[in-house]
Amino acid sequence: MLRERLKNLYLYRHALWDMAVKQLEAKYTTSFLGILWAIITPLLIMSVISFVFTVIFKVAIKNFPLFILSGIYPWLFFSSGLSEASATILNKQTILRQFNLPREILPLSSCLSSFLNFLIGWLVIYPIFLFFNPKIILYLPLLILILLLHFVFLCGLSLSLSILNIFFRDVEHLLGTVLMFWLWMTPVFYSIEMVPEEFRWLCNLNPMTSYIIYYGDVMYRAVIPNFTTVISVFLWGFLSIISGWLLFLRLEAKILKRI
Amino acid sequence: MEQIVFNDLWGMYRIKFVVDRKPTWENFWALKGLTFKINQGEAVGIIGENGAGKSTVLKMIAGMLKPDRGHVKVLGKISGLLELGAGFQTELTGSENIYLIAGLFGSSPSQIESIYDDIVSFADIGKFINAPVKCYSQGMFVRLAFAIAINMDSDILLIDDTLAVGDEHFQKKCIRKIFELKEQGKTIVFVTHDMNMLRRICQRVIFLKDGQIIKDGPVDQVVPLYAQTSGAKEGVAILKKGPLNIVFNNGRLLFNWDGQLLTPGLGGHTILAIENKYYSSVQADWTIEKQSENKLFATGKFEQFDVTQVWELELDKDLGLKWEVGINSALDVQISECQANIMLSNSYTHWFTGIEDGMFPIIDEISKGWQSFLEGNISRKVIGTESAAALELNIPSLFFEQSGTFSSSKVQVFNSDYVNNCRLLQYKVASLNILSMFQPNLTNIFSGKISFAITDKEKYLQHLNQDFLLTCGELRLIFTNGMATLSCKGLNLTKNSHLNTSLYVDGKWYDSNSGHWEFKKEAQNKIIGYGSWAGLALKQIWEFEINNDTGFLWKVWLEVSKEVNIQQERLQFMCAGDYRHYSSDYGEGDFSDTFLETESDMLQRCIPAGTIGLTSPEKQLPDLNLFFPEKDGNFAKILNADFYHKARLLRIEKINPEEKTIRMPGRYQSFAVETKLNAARQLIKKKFSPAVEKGKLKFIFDQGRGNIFWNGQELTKKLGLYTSLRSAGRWYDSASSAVWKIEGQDNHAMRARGRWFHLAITQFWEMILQGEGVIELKVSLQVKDKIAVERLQTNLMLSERYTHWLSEKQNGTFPLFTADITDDWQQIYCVPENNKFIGVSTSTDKKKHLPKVLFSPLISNSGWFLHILNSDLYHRGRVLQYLNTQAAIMEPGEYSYAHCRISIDAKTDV
Repeated sequence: MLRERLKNLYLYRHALWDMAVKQLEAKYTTSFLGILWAIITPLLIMSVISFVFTVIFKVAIKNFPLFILSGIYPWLFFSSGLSEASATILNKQTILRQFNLPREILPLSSCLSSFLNFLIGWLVIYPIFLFFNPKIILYLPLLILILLLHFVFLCGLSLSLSILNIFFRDVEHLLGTVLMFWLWMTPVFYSIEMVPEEFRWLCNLNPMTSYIIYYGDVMYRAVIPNFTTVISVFLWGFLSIISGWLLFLRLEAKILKRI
Repeated sequence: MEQIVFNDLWGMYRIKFVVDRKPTWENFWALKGLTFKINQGEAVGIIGENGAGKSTVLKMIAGMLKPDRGHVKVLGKISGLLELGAGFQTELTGSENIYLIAGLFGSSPSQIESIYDDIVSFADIGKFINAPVKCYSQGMFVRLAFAIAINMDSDILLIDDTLAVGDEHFQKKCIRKIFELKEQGKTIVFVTHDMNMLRRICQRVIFLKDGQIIKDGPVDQVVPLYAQTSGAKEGVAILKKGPLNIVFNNGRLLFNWDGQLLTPGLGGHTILAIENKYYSSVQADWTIEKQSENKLFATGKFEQFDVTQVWELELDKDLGLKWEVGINSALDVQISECQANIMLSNSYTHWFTGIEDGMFPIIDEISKGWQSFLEGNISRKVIGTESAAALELNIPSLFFEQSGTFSSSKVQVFNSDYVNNCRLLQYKVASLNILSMFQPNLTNIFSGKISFAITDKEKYLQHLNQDFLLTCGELRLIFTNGMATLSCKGLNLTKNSHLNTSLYVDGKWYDSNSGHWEFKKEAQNKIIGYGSWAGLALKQIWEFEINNDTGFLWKVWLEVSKEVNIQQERLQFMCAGDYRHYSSDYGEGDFSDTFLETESDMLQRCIPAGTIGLTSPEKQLPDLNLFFPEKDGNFAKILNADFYHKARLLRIEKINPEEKTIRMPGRYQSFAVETKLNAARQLIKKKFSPAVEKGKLKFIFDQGRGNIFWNGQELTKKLGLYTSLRSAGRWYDSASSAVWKIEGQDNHAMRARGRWFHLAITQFWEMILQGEGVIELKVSLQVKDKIAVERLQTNLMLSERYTHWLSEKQNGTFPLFTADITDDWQQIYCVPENNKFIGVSTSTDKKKHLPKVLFSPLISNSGWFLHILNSDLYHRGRVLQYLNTQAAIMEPGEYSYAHCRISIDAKTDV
């Protein structure tokens, strides 16, 4: 059955792509700066946070702005991607009522749209990192790997949340707060070393931790991520997508009456 | 091959009801155990009331909903229009949305490319295809959405009653496309409330009610069941007998024969024109009072107006339904028309009225639209239809007759357009006079009967039409609201208003076709008609008698009940334009080929009595001759009708002189005319007109016109010697506006008196032949009543062979004729007052020579002078004229009009 679904999804790949691109366009066509916002936002955040943490909190991390950027940029992708994706089914009910397409397309196209947005930003941000640390070019393949895995992780969570949202509208409301909470739980503004030993397990429990550490390894520290990080990243990715999809399939029949 | 299979399918909605802020959840079972199969290529309709579960079924097929119990199996790709506007991005253009939506349907870009042009042309929104969708009108939106859905190359097409939006042109396109898809073997599932559309598209219909299938079968069986059970319950009633089942459903009558529906769409219904807008009976709210098993009264009230219509329906044992319509309305509501219509299935192929008949052409895409088959202004007693395949299809012939007299109704038989695909029989009562006499009680405006089981069609038709049809051999007279049509061997000899009469009473014209007529058969060969007009205290009686197959007798009487002022009476035959030649005792000729804006008098004279006739070239139509005797100064005229009618008119008139217009109560004969067809030509003989001769000169006085002959050759032409005067803007000639009596005649002189009809004047002419070639004419005018005159003329029209004109001081040649028949004649020379004479002459060429003619006034009255003119192209004559152009009011009295001399071949110029 899963194979059929996959086949179906494949048939609709054009629609998937189309919707993703149109969603991206719709986001920026009406604004003046347009696509530049994909870059401006992370850079702005980076500037403010850097200022606050280095000047006010006086955190002692070398090249703090870069450190921040390497974590905050993927985080932004994840957090905004998830927020948008979880609302898709609810927002596009009419499409589900009229067309018999695989319903995964809705959250998936949203994720794809966010991913494209993410990639476009990398076109500017990667050169910035490269400028400060030309060595990272060697780790580019690893970066590509994490991008894809991160995308898969996002998709999985999106599938779950988007369908759960139909049943429990609370999901929408909670998500904002949860993400904020989650952000602080992840070593984005601080390095994992700064966390006291007793509490480090909390961070390790957080799936995003390994992703952010991986990003940091590849972009900021210019080292190969260690074995646990890599395993973690893969595991969380697959877990997310499989559970997300299964949940989606399970609850799918019921949503048709709810929308 | 099974394409859609429902197997004991149950579908439920869980609905949250909130009452006073307290929510309760209930399971609503929309579908309960549905089981059916649809095979590939079938077109199935799903009907039912609102909430029956129709849209839910479509959603189950589309896979939008999953059944709670049971299974649904669907093979093939689906497309359809279930929710309008789903998926459209309003900021994007129509073109971009096509790709988007088609993609959502599951097509790849290359597939979309191949159907893109089809979609754009089907949607037909022009250049707006490149504009953002948010600025589309609803109609454009639907067209685009539907265009995409229908061109998707899917195996199954689902339509959820969205064809209702969109104009007729679009609906036609959709139907055509759906038929195309059917031919390609696509399966169609169509949910609708439009039974007519349903019949066009689907052969099989599933009737749902409360989630269950009530009936699943052929469209002609299921739809009647639906019609019976749907609609406001108080407005539904059934009358049954034998195979006939009549359903009255809220303003429409549906006829079923052995379970088959004979009336699609609106069936039997009425349409009222209220305040110039049309309202059909289905738009009213109805209640029913059933009197007995076979009789009921249905009362329908329109919401917006205080207009109530009551239908009385009674089914008798011979399967005939009596249908009477009465209307009750407030006095200030203006109802100008009432139609009683029956819409019939297109299985009916032939129609007949007992007088004419025809076949309904097949309705297909290329047929233009509504067509009617009967002449616009006639009425008939009955319209019947039958089906060529009556036996195979088990369709009874249907007779729709109107009872009683029908002078104010017009009958029509229609073939509908492609969208409606039906036949329509109509009785239209459209007489403002009748309908405005409403009082606050019920007024019966239509009374009819619909019969289904007539076994002997010919006998029945003959029986119904007997009061309206007189035949003998091939000769036929048909009587219908105030007219009689004449035909012979199937050819119509008359047209438009055919044989009719008119009365000019108290300053108003009353035509027979505006009156109320009752015709009765008195004997095998005689029909009498009684006509009356609202507001006139008289009745006109027509008696038609046919004795052989070549002619008939028509007598007209007036029965006056109260003193009336009758100024003119008229009897007219309006004959077919194929009659090209007219003849009478006073002359003959050909009708002109062009019809002018007004009627034109062909002979330009009043024919007192005798025969007038028409013939057509190559004997296309039989010769038509009318004989009428002298009576009360009646006279006949032969005219070419106006541009609108394009007919030939034979008219017999009676103009009562001023003193004699008042009629006391009593019976008066107005006219007695004998009509003969193809009578031998010699019956019309040229009446011998009185003449005087002296030597080579011969002068003939022909009813107000003088003709001059010299040595046997006529010197005058067409209008000859005549007088004419203009009063109040109209011309009155001595020949065409007056009737003459010879008062005295001897060898060389003649005296005649003419009486004009429209003016209270007479003229007295003295014509004396003197010497060699001299005619002395003395005209005096007697005015009975004050008239205003603008011109007085004495004219002599001479042959066009006269090429030169002359006067005392000047001369010249005549130019070519240029004036058209409606133009003024060309003035050649306006002679100064002291000239004594004018004349014409020809060249001295022996062959063309005609004697010189001189015209001179013997007493020159002041204000009168001579003119020389060229007439128009029709008359082609040279005119010598003595006239007075001083406008004046002439008091009653005797006036000297003219005293002049006409000299022929005078040697001197004096």
